[in-house]
Amino acid sequence: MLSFEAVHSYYGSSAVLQDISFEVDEGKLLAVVGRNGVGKTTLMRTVMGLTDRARGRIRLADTELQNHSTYERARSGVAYVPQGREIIGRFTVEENLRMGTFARRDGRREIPGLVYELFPVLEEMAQRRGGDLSGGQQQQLAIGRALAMEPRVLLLDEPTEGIQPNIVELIEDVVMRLNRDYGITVVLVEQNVPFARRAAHEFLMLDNGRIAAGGTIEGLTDELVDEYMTI
Amino acid sequence: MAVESFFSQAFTGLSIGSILLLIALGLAIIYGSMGVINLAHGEFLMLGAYATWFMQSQLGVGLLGSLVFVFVMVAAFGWLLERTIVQFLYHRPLDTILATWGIGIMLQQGMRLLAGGELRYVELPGSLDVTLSLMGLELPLYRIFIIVLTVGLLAATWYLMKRTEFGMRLRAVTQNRAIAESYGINSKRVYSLTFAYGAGLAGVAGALVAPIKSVSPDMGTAFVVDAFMVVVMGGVGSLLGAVVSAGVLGELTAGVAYLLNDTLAKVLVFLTVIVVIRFRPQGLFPDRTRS
Repeated sequence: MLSFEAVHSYYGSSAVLQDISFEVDEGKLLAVVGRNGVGKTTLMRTVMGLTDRARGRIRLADTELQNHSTYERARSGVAYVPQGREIIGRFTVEENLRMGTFARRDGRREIPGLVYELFPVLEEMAQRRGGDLSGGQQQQLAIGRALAMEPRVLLLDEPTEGIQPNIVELIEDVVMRLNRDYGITVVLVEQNVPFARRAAHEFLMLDNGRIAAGGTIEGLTDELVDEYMTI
Repeated sequence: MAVESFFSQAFTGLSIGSILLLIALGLAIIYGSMGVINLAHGEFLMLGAYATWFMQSQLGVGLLGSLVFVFVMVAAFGWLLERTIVQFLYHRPLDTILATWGIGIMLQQGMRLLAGGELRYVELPGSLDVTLSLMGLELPLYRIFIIVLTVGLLAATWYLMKRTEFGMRLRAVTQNRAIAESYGINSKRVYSLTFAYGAGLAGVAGALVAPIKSVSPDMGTAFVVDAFMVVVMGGVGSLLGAVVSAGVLGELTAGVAYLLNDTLAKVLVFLTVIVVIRFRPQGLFPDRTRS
Protein backbone atom coordinates (compact mmCIF):
# COMPACT_ATOMS: atom_id res chain seq x y z
CA MET A 1 0.00 0.00 0.00
CA LEU A 2 2.75 2.44 1.03
CA SER A 3 6.39 1.89 0.21
CA PHE A 4 9.76 3.63 0.33
CA GLU A 5 12.61 2.65 -1.96
CA ALA A 6 16.03 4.03 -1.07
CA VAL A 7 14.61 7.30 0.19
CA HIS A 8 16.88 10.08 1.40
CA SER A 9 15.31 13.20 2.89
CA TYR A 10 16.92 16.54 3.58
CA TYR A 11 16.53 19.68 5.64
CA GLY A 12 18.83 22.20 4.00
CA SER A 13 21.85 20.20 2.93
CA SER A 14 21.83 17.69 5.78
CA ALA A 15 20.33 14.28 5.07
CA VAL A 16 18.03 13.53 8.01
CA LEU A 17 16.91 10.21 6.52
CA GLN A 18 19.32 8.00 4.61
CA ASP A 19 18.55 5.04 2.40
CA ILE A 20 15.17 4.15 3.89
CA SER A 21 13.28 1.27 2.29
CA PHE A 22 10.17 -0.45 3.62
CA GLU A 23 6.69 -1.50 2.62
CA VAL A 24 3.39 -1.55 4.50
CA ASP A 25 0.73 -3.85 3.08
CA GLU A 26 -2.91 -2.86 2.93
CA GLY A 27 -4.66 -3.20 6.27
CA LYS A 28 -1.45 -3.48 8.26
CA LEU A 29 -0.19 -1.31 11.09
CA LEU A 30 3.48 -0.36 11.02
CA ALA A 31 5.06 1.05 14.18
CA VAL A 32 8.03 3.36 13.70
CA VAL A 33 10.14 3.41 16.85
CA GLY A 34 13.45 4.85 18.00
CA ARG A 35 14.90 7.54 20.24
CA ASN A 36 14.09 11.21 19.93
CA GLY A 37 15.72 12.90 16.97
CA VAL A 38 16.45 9.80 14.90
CA GLY A 39 14.12 10.85 12.07
CA LYS A 40 10.71 9.37 12.90
CA THR A 41 8.83 12.63 12.38
CA THR A 42 10.95 13.38 9.31
CA LEU A 43 9.81 10.06 7.87
CA MET A 44 6.17 11.14 8.20
CA ARG A 45 6.88 14.56 6.75
CA THR A 46 8.74 12.94 3.88
CA VAL A 47 5.62 10.97 2.94
CA MET A 48 3.72 14.28 2.77
CA GLY A 49 6.50 16.12 0.95
CA LEU A 50 7.05 18.56 3.80
CA THR A 51 10.83 18.28 4.01
CA ASP A 52 13.05 20.56 1.95
CA ARG A 53 14.04 17.86 -0.49
CA ALA A 54 13.88 14.09 -0.89
CA ARG A 55 15.08 11.51 -3.38
CA GLY A 56 14.16 7.90 -3.91
CA ARG A 57 10.73 6.43 -4.66
CA ILE A 58 7.68 6.81 -2.43
CA ARG A 59 4.66 4.89 -3.61
CA LEU A 60 1.04 4.80 -2.47
CA ALA A 61 -0.58 1.87 -4.29
CA ASP A 62 0.00 2.87 -7.95
CA THR A 63 0.82 6.52 -7.36
CA GLU A 64 4.42 7.72 -7.33
CA LEU A 65 4.10 10.26 -4.54
CA GLN A 66 7.56 11.79 -4.92
CA ASN A 67 6.47 13.50 -8.13
CA HIS A 68 3.52 15.23 -6.48
CA SER A 69 3.14 18.27 -4.29
CA THR A 70 1.82 18.00 -0.74
CA TYR A 71 -1.82 18.76 -1.51
CA GLU A 72 -1.87 16.19 -4.31
CA ARG A 73 -0.38 13.56 -2.00
CA ALA A 74 -3.16 14.27 0.49
CA ARG A 75 -5.78 13.95 -2.24
CA SER A 76 -4.40 10.56 -3.24
CA GLY A 77 -5.45 9.30 0.19
CA VAL A 78 -2.78 9.92 2.84
CA ALA A 79 -3.94 11.57 6.06
CA TYR A 80 -1.32 13.06 8.34
CA VAL A 81 -1.88 13.60 12.06
CA PRO A 82 1.23 15.53 13.09
CA GLN A 83 2.98 15.59 16.40
CA GLY A 84 1.58 18.49 18.41
CA ARG A 85 -1.77 18.02 16.60
CA GLU A 86 -1.65 21.32 14.71
CA ILE A 87 -5.35 21.87 14.51
CA ILE A 88 -6.44 25.28 13.23
CA GLY A 89 -6.94 27.26 16.44
CA ARG A 90 -9.27 29.88 15.01
CA PHE A 91 -11.52 27.38 13.23
CA THR A 92 -14.39 25.79 15.10
CA VAL A 93 -14.25 22.07 15.72
CA GLU A 94 -16.70 21.57 12.88
CA GLU A 95 -14.66 23.73 10.50
CA ASN A 96 -11.53 21.76 11.36
CA LEU A 97 -13.38 18.55 10.50
CA ARG A 98 -14.79 20.06 7.32
CA MET A 99 -11.27 21.04 6.31
CA GLY A 100 -10.44 17.32 6.44
CA THR A 101 -13.03 16.65 3.74
CA PHE A 102 -11.19 18.96 1.30
CA ALA A 103 -8.81 16.10 0.55
CA ARG A 104 -11.55 13.53 -0.13
CA ARG A 105 -11.21 11.73 -3.39
CA ASP A 106 -14.96 11.82 -4.11
CA GLY A 107 -15.18 15.59 -3.57
CA ARG A 108 -17.98 15.30 -1.02
CA ARG A 109 -18.10 17.59 1.97
CA GLU A 110 -20.01 15.83 4.71
CA ILE A 111 -18.23 14.67 7.84
CA PRO A 112 -18.44 10.85 8.11
CA GLY A 113 -20.62 9.59 10.96
CA LEU A 114 -17.69 7.48 12.15
CA VAL A 115 -15.89 10.60 13.40
CA TYR A 116 -18.59 11.51 15.92
CA GLU A 117 -19.17 7.85 16.76
CA LEU A 118 -15.54 7.39 17.78
CA PHE A 119 -15.24 10.83 19.39
CA PRO A 120 -18.63 11.94 20.77
CA VAL A 121 -16.97 14.94 22.46
CA LEU A 122 -16.35 16.49 19.03
CA GLU A 123 -20.07 16.63 18.34
CA GLU A 124 -20.76 18.27 21.71
CA MET A 125 -18.05 20.84 21.03
CA ALA A 126 -18.80 21.33 17.33
CA GLN A 127 -19.11 25.12 17.62
CA ARG A 128 -16.19 25.72 20.00
CA ARG A 129 -12.97 27.09 18.62
CA GLY A 130 -10.26 24.49 18.13
CA GLY A 131 -7.76 26.57 20.08
CA ASP A 132 -9.99 26.46 23.18
CA LEU A 133 -10.00 22.66 23.48
CA SER A 134 -7.84 20.69 25.90
CA GLY A 135 -4.86 18.72 24.62
CA GLY A 136 -6.74 15.43 24.65
CA GLN A 137 -9.71 16.94 22.84
CA GLN A 138 -7.41 18.50 20.27
CA GLN A 139 -5.83 15.11 19.64
CA GLN A 140 -9.25 13.59 19.05
CA LEU A 141 -10.02 16.45 16.69
CA ALA A 142 -6.76 15.92 14.81
CA ILE A 143 -7.56 12.23 14.30
CA GLY A 144 -11.17 13.11 13.43
CA ARG A 145 -9.97 15.58 10.83
CA ALA A 146 -7.82 12.87 9.28
CA LEU A 147 -10.74 10.43 9.20
CA ALA A 148 -12.96 13.05 7.56
CA MET A 149 -10.98 12.58 4.36
CA GLU A 150 -11.64 8.81 4.42
CA PRO A 151 -7.96 8.02 4.01
CA ARG A 152 -6.33 4.92 2.62
CA VAL A 153 -3.28 5.41 4.81
CA LEU A 154 -3.23 7.14 8.17
CA LEU A 155 0.03 8.62 9.47
CA LEU A 156 -0.04 9.09 13.26
CA ASP A 157 2.87 10.85 14.93
CA GLU A 158 2.92 10.08 18.67
CA PRO A 159 -0.85 10.39 19.12
CA THR A 160 -0.72 9.85 22.89
CA GLU A 161 2.18 12.17 23.70
CA GLY A 162 1.34 14.74 26.37
CA ILE A 163 -2.28 13.55 26.76
CA GLN A 164 -4.03 12.93 30.08
CA PRO A 165 -4.11 9.18 30.94
CA ASN A 166 -7.86 8.56 30.56
CA ILE A 167 -7.76 9.91 27.00
CA VAL A 168 -4.63 7.90 26.17
CA GLU A 169 -6.63 4.72 26.59
CA LEU A 170 -9.41 6.01 24.33
CA ILE A 171 -6.98 7.00 21.61
CA GLU A 172 -5.08 3.72 21.75
CA ASP A 173 -8.38 1.90 21.46
CA VAL A 174 -9.46 4.01 18.48
CA VAL A 175 -6.15 3.46 16.67
CA MET A 176 -6.54 -0.31 17.06
CA ARG A 177 -10.17 -0.25 15.90
CA LEU A 178 -9.43 1.90 12.86
CA ASN A 179 -6.88 -0.64 11.77
CA ARG A 180 -8.58 -3.88 12.82
CA ASP A 181 -12.26 -3.09 12.28
CA TYR A 182 -12.13 -0.51 9.49
CA GLY A 183 -9.11 -1.83 7.61
CA ILE A 184 -7.25 1.46 7.44
CA THR A 185 -3.52 1.08 6.85
CA VAL A 186 -1.66 2.88 9.63
CA VAL A 187 1.89 4.13 10.11
CA LEU A 188 2.31 4.91 13.79
CA VAL A 189 5.25 6.72 15.34
CA GLU A 190 5.32 5.61 18.96
CA GLN A 191 7.66 5.79 21.95
CA ASN A 192 5.43 3.60 24.07
CA VAL A 193 6.77 0.10 23.35
CA PRO A 194 4.00 -1.91 25.05
CA PHE A 195 1.37 -0.13 22.96
CA ALA A 196 3.44 -0.56 19.78
CA ARG A 197 3.69 -4.29 20.51
CA ARG A 198 -0.05 -4.58 21.04
CA ALA A 199 -1.09 -2.54 18.04
CA ALA A 200 1.44 -3.21 15.31
CA HIS A 201 1.91 -6.03 12.82
CA GLU A 202 5.32 -4.78 11.82
CA PHE A 203 7.93 -2.39 13.11
CA LEU A 204 10.73 -0.20 11.89
CA MET A 205 13.51 0.81 14.29
CA LEU A 206 15.26 4.00 13.27
CA ASP A 207 18.64 5.08 14.52
CA ASN A 208 20.46 8.17 13.36
CA GLY A 209 18.42 8.52 10.17
CA ARG A 210 18.82 4.90 9.08
CA ILE A 211 16.90 1.68 9.57
CA ALA A 212 18.49 -0.23 12.45
CA ALA A 213 16.02 -3.12 12.47
CA GLY A 214 12.61 -4.07 11.13
CA GLY A 215 10.22 -6.91 10.42
CA THR A 216 7.24 -8.46 12.13
CA ILE A 217 6.44 -7.05 15.55
CA GLU A 218 7.60 -10.23 17.33
CA GLY A 219 11.10 -9.18 16.31
CA LEU A 220 10.89 -6.06 18.49
CA THR A 221 12.72 -7.75 21.35
CA ASP A 222 13.77 -6.32 24.71
CA GLU A 223 17.37 -6.50 23.51
CA LEU A 224 16.56 -4.27 20.52
CA VAL A 225 14.67 -1.85 22.74
CA ASP A 226 17.59 -1.72 25.17
CA GLU A 227 20.08 -1.15 22.42
CA TYR A 228 18.24 1.50 20.42
CA MET A 229 15.71 3.13 22.72
CA THR A 230 17.09 3.21 26.23
CA ILE A 231 19.01 6.34 27.01
CA MET B 1 -27.09 76.43 9.69
CA ALA B 2 -24.38 75.16 12.03
CA VAL B 3 -26.17 71.84 12.27
CA GLU B 4 -26.50 71.64 8.52
CA SER B 5 -22.86 72.32 7.89
CA PHE B 6 -21.98 69.74 10.54
CA PHE B 7 -23.98 67.08 8.72
CA SER B 8 -22.65 68.25 5.40
CA GLN B 9 -19.06 67.81 6.65
CA ALA B 10 -19.93 64.48 8.22
CA PHE B 11 -21.19 63.34 4.82
CA THR B 12 -18.02 64.54 3.12
CA GLY B 13 -16.01 62.63 5.73
CA LEU B 14 -18.05 59.51 5.09
CA SER B 15 -17.42 59.88 1.40
CA ILE B 16 -13.66 60.33 1.87
CA GLY B 17 -13.64 57.42 4.30
CA SER B 18 -15.42 55.12 1.88
CA ILE B 19 -12.91 55.90 -0.86
CA LEU B 20 -10.09 55.23 1.63
CA LEU B 21 -11.70 51.94 2.55
CA LEU B 22 -12.21 50.97 -1.06
CA ILE B 23 -8.51 51.50 -1.75
CA ALA B 24 -7.39 49.86 1.49
CA LEU B 25 -9.61 46.78 1.21
CA GLY B 26 -7.53 45.00 -1.43
CA LEU B 27 -4.34 45.95 0.35
CA ALA B 28 -5.68 44.72 3.68
CA ILE B 29 -6.58 41.33 2.22
CA ILE B 30 -3.22 40.81 0.52
CA TYR B 31 -1.25 42.07 3.52
CA GLY B 32 -3.43 40.39 6.12
CA SER B 33 -3.58 36.94 4.58
CA MET B 34 -0.34 36.65 2.67
CA GLY B 35 1.92 39.04 4.58
CA VAL B 36 2.91 40.72 1.33
CA ILE B 37 3.42 44.46 1.53
CA ASN B 38 2.35 45.33 -1.97
CA LEU B 39 3.77 48.73 -2.87
CA ALA B 40 2.38 48.35 -6.41
CA HIS B 41 -1.16 48.55 -5.03
CA GLY B 42 -1.42 52.22 -6.04
CA GLU B 43 -0.45 51.26 -9.58
CA PHE B 44 -3.21 48.65 -9.71
CA LEU B 45 -5.53 51.50 -8.88
CA MET B 46 -3.92 53.61 -11.61
CA LEU B 47 -4.42 50.76 -14.11
CA GLY B 48 -8.09 50.62 -13.17
CA ALA B 49 -8.44 54.36 -13.68
CA TYR B 50 -6.74 54.22 -17.09
CA ALA B 51 -8.79 51.22 -18.16
CA THR B 52 -11.93 53.23 -17.34
CA TRP B 53 -10.61 56.23 -19.25
CA PHE B 54 -9.73 54.03 -22.24
CA MET B 55 -13.15 52.38 -22.28
CA GLN B 56 -14.85 55.76 -22.13
CA SER B 57 -12.73 57.78 -24.57
CA GLN B 58 -11.91 55.07 -27.11
CA LEU B 59 -14.80 52.64 -26.93
CA GLY B 60 -17.56 54.88 -25.64
CA VAL B 61 -18.38 52.61 -22.71
CA GLY B 62 -19.45 54.54 -19.62
CA LEU B 63 -18.05 54.16 -16.12
CA LEU B 64 -20.82 51.90 -14.85
CA GLY B 65 -20.54 49.59 -17.84
CA SER B 66 -16.77 49.31 -17.36
CA LEU B 67 -16.68 48.32 -13.69
CA VAL B 68 -16.86 44.55 -14.14
CA PHE B 69 -14.41 44.63 -17.02
CA VAL B 70 -11.98 46.76 -15.01
CA PHE B 71 -12.19 44.37 -12.05
CA VAL B 72 -11.48 41.35 -14.25
CA MET B 73 -8.69 43.05 -16.16
CA VAL B 74 -6.77 44.32 -13.12
CA ALA B 75 -7.38 41.02 -11.29
CA ALA B 76 -5.92 39.12 -14.24
CA PHE B 77 -2.94 41.44 -14.22
CA GLY B 78 -2.46 40.90 -10.47
CA TRP B 79 -2.71 37.15 -10.96
CA LEU B 80 -0.01 37.27 -13.63
CA LEU B 81 2.25 39.33 -11.40
CA GLU B 82 1.80 36.93 -8.50
CA ARG B 83 2.55 33.91 -10.69
CA THR B 84 5.63 35.41 -12.29
CA ILE B 85 7.24 37.41 -9.46
CA VAL B 86 5.58 37.66 -6.07
CA GLN B 87 5.18 33.91 -5.46
CA PHE B 88 8.95 33.49 -5.35
CA LEU B 89 9.33 36.07 -2.61
CA TYR B 90 7.02 34.87 0.17
CA HIS B 91 9.94 33.89 2.37
CA ARG B 92 11.67 37.21 1.78
CA PRO B 93 9.42 40.07 2.98
CA LEU B 94 12.00 42.81 2.43
CA ASP B 95 12.58 41.72 -1.14
CA THR B 96 8.85 41.75 -1.72
CA ILE B 97 8.69 45.41 -0.74
CA LEU B 98 11.54 46.27 -3.07
CA ALA B 99 10.19 44.15 -5.94
CA THR B 100 6.64 45.51 -5.76
CA TRP B 101 7.99 49.04 -5.50
CA GLY B 102 10.05 48.44 -8.64
CA ILE B 103 7.05 46.96 -10.42
CA GLY B 104 5.08 50.05 -9.43
CA ILE B 105 7.66 52.36 -10.98
CA MET B 106 7.76 50.30 -14.17
CA LEU B 107 3.99 50.39 -14.43
CA GLN B 108 4.00 54.17 -14.00
CA GLN B 109 6.63 54.66 -16.71
CA GLY B 110 5.00 52.08 -18.94
CA MET B 111 1.70 53.92 -18.72
CA ARG B 112 3.44 57.22 -19.39
CA LEU B 113 4.85 55.76 -22.62
CA LEU B 114 1.58 54.11 -23.57
CA ALA B 115 -0.98 56.79 -22.77
CA GLY B 116 1.14 59.92 -22.43
CA GLY B 117 2.03 61.89 -19.35
CA GLU B 118 -0.80 64.42 -19.50
CA LEU B 119 -3.77 64.31 -17.14
CA ARG B 120 -6.79 62.36 -18.38
CA TYR B 121 -10.37 62.95 -17.39
CA VAL B 122 -13.18 60.50 -16.93
CA GLU B 123 -16.73 61.80 -17.04
CA LEU B 124 -19.28 61.05 -14.38
CA PRO B 125 -22.10 58.82 -15.55
CA GLY B 126 -24.91 61.19 -16.59
CA SER B 127 -27.44 59.51 -14.36
CA LEU B 128 -25.23 60.04 -11.30
CA ASP B 129 -24.15 63.59 -12.11
CA VAL B 130 -26.85 65.21 -10.02
CA THR B 131 -27.07 66.65 -6.55
CA LEU B 132 -29.77 65.57 -4.16
CA SER B 133 -31.28 68.05 -1.75
CA LEU B 134 -32.14 66.30 1.45
CA MET B 135 -33.28 68.16 4.58
CA GLY B 136 -31.35 71.23 3.53
CA LEU B 137 -28.23 69.24 2.62
CA GLU B 138 -26.74 69.17 -0.87
CA LEU B 139 -25.58 65.61 -1.50
CA PRO B 140 -23.83 64.75 -4.79
CA LEU B 141 -25.40 61.49 -5.97
CA TYR B 142 -22.06 60.11 -7.16
CA ARG B 143 -20.67 60.34 -3.62
CA ILE B 144 -23.66 58.40 -2.34
CA PHE B 145 -23.08 55.85 -5.11
CA ILE B 146 -19.46 55.37 -3.97
CA ILE B 147 -20.55 54.88 -0.36
CA VAL B 148 -23.18 52.32 -1.37
CA LEU B 149 -20.80 50.45 -3.65
CA THR B 150 -18.11 50.39 -0.95
CA VAL B 151 -20.57 48.88 1.51
CA GLY B 152 -21.54 46.33 -1.14
CA LEU B 153 -17.94 45.36 -1.89
CA LEU B 154 -17.19 45.16 1.82
CA ALA B 155 -20.13 42.81 2.33
CA ALA B 156 -19.08 40.70 -0.65
CA THR B 157 -15.53 40.49 0.68
CA TRP B 158 -16.72 39.56 4.15
CA TYR B 159 -18.93 36.85 2.67
CA LEU B 160 -16.08 35.55 0.51
CA MET B 161 -13.71 35.34 3.47
CA LYS B 162 -16.04 34.02 6.14
CA ARG B 163 -18.75 32.07 4.40
CA THR B 164 -17.33 30.42 1.30
CA GLU B 165 -15.10 27.41 0.97
CA PHE B 166 -12.52 29.54 -0.80
CA GLY B 167 -12.39 31.82 2.25
CA MET B 168 -11.99 28.84 4.53
CA ARG B 169 -9.12 27.55 2.40
CA LEU B 170 -7.48 30.96 2.54
CA ARG B 171 -7.87 31.22 6.32
CA ALA B 172 -6.47 27.70 6.73
CA VAL B 173 -3.43 28.52 4.59
CA THR B 174 -2.91 31.79 6.49
CA GLN B 175 -2.88 30.01 9.83
CA ASN B 176 -0.92 26.87 8.98
CA ARG B 177 0.28 26.41 5.45
CA ALA B 178 1.86 22.97 5.90
CA ILE B 179 -1.26 21.51 7.48
CA ALA B 180 -3.56 23.16 4.95
CA GLU B 181 -1.52 21.54 2.17
CA SER B 182 -1.63 18.23 4.02
CA TYR B 183 -5.40 18.38 3.81
CA GLY B 184 -5.59 18.87 0.08
CA ILE B 185 -5.47 22.66 -0.16
CA ASN B 186 -3.39 23.99 -3.05
CA SER B 187 -1.91 26.98 -1.25
CA LYS B 188 -0.23 28.42 -4.34
CA ARG B 189 -3.55 28.59 -6.12
CA VAL B 190 -5.24 30.12 -3.07
CA TYR B 191 -2.52 32.77 -2.85
CA SER B 192 -2.62 33.75 -6.51
CA LEU B 193 -6.41 34.01 -6.51
CA THR B 194 -6.31 36.11 -3.35
CA PHE B 195 -3.71 38.41 -4.84
CA ALA B 196 -5.83 38.69 -7.98
CA TYR B 197 -8.93 39.55 -5.94
CA GLY B 198 -7.07 42.26 -4.01
CA ALA B 199 -5.73 43.68 -7.27
CA GLY B 200 -9.21 43.64 -8.82
CA LEU B 201 -10.57 45.61 -5.86
CA ALA B 202 -7.83 48.21 -6.37
CA GLY B 203 -8.83 48.40 -10.02
CA VAL B 204 -12.45 49.10 -9.12
CA ALA B 205 -11.29 51.75 -6.65
CA GLY B 206 -9.33 53.33 -9.49
CA ALA B 207 -12.38 53.34 -11.74
CA LEU B 208 -14.47 55.00 -9.04
CA VAL B 209 -11.99 57.74 -8.15
CA ALA B 210 -11.23 58.48 -11.83
CA PRO B 211 -14.10 60.99 -12.28
CA ILE B 212 -13.34 62.90 -9.06
CA LYS B 213 -9.55 62.99 -9.26
CA SER B 214 -7.54 63.44 -12.40
CA VAL B 215 -6.03 60.36 -13.97
CA SER B 216 -2.24 60.36 -14.31
CA PRO B 217 0.51 57.70 -14.30
CA ASP B 218 1.63 58.62 -10.78
CA MET B 219 -1.83 59.02 -9.23
CA GLY B 220 -1.42 55.79 -7.24
CA THR B 221 1.41 57.03 -5.04
CA ALA B 222 -0.69 59.29 -2.85
CA PHE B 223 -3.46 56.71 -2.56
CA VAL B 224 -1.20 53.89 -1.49
CA VAL B 225 0.12 55.95 1.43
CA ASP B 226 -3.42 56.63 2.62
CA ALA B 227 -4.35 52.99 2.20
CA PHE B 228 -1.37 51.84 4.25
CA MET B 229 -2.33 54.22 7.04
CA VAL B 230 -5.81 52.70 7.09
CA VAL B 231 -4.46 49.13 7.21
CA VAL B 232 -1.80 49.83 9.84
CA MET B 233 -4.11 51.80 12.10
CA GLY B 234 -6.94 49.28 11.76
CA GLY B 235 -4.84 46.25 12.56
CA VAL B 236 -3.42 43.80 10.06
CA GLY B 237 -5.90 41.22 8.86
CA SER B 238 -8.94 42.87 10.37
CA LEU B 239 -11.76 43.94 8.04
CA LEU B 240 -13.52 45.67 10.93
CA GLY B 241 -10.31 47.53 11.77
CA ALA B 242 -10.01 48.75 8.19
CA VAL B 243 -13.62 49.98 8.25
CA VAL B 244 -13.26 51.84 11.53
CA SER B 245 -9.91 53.40 10.73
CA ALA B 246 -11.05 54.46 7.24
CA GLY B 247 -14.07 56.09 8.89
CA VAL B 248 -12.00 57.87 11.53
CA LEU B 249 -9.42 59.13 9.05
CA GLY B 250 -12.11 60.21 6.58
CA GLU B 251 -14.08 62.18 9.17
CA LEU B 252 -10.91 63.68 10.61
CA THR B 253 -9.78 64.84 7.18
CA ALA B 254 -13.15 66.38 6.33
CA GLY B 255 -13.63 68.00 9.75
CA VAL B 256 -10.20 69.58 10.03
CA ALA B 257 -10.18 70.63 6.40
CA TYR B 258 -13.47 72.47 7.00
CA LEU B 259 -12.42 74.14 10.25
CA LEU B 260 -8.80 74.89 9.27
CA ASN B 261 -7.36 73.74 5.94
CA ASP B 262 -6.38 70.70 3.86
CA THR B 263 -2.69 70.73 4.72
CA LEU B 264 -3.35 70.84 8.44
CA ALA B 265 -5.88 68.03 8.02
CA LYS B 266 -3.19 65.86 6.45
CA VAL B 267 -0.78 66.68 9.28
CA LEU B 268 -3.37 65.80 11.91
CA VAL B 269 -4.23 62.53 10.17
CA PHE B 270 -0.57 61.51 10.20
CA LEU B 271 -0.30 62.58 13.83
CA THR B 272 -3.35 60.51 14.76
CA VAL B 273 -1.95 57.42 13.07
CA ILE B 274 1.40 57.88 14.82
CA VAL B 275 -0.25 58.28 18.22
CA VAL B 276 -2.49 55.24 17.70
CA ILE B 277 0.44 53.10 16.59
CA ARG B 278 2.52 54.35 19.53
CA PHE B 279 -0.04 53.12 22.05
CA ARG B 280 -1.53 50.24 20.09
CA PRO B 281 1.25 48.81 17.93
CA GLN B 282 -1.04 46.05 16.69
CA GLY B 283 -3.61 48.58 15.47
CA LEU B 284 -7.12 49.24 16.73
CA PHE B 285 -8.42 45.71 16.15
CA PRO B 286 -5.51 43.29 16.32
CA ASP B 287 -6.09 39.72 15.25
CA ARG B 288 -5.88 37.89 18.56
CA THR B 289 -4.77 34.29 18.57
CA ARG B 290 -3.82 31.68 21.08
CA SER B 291 -1.16 29.05 20.49
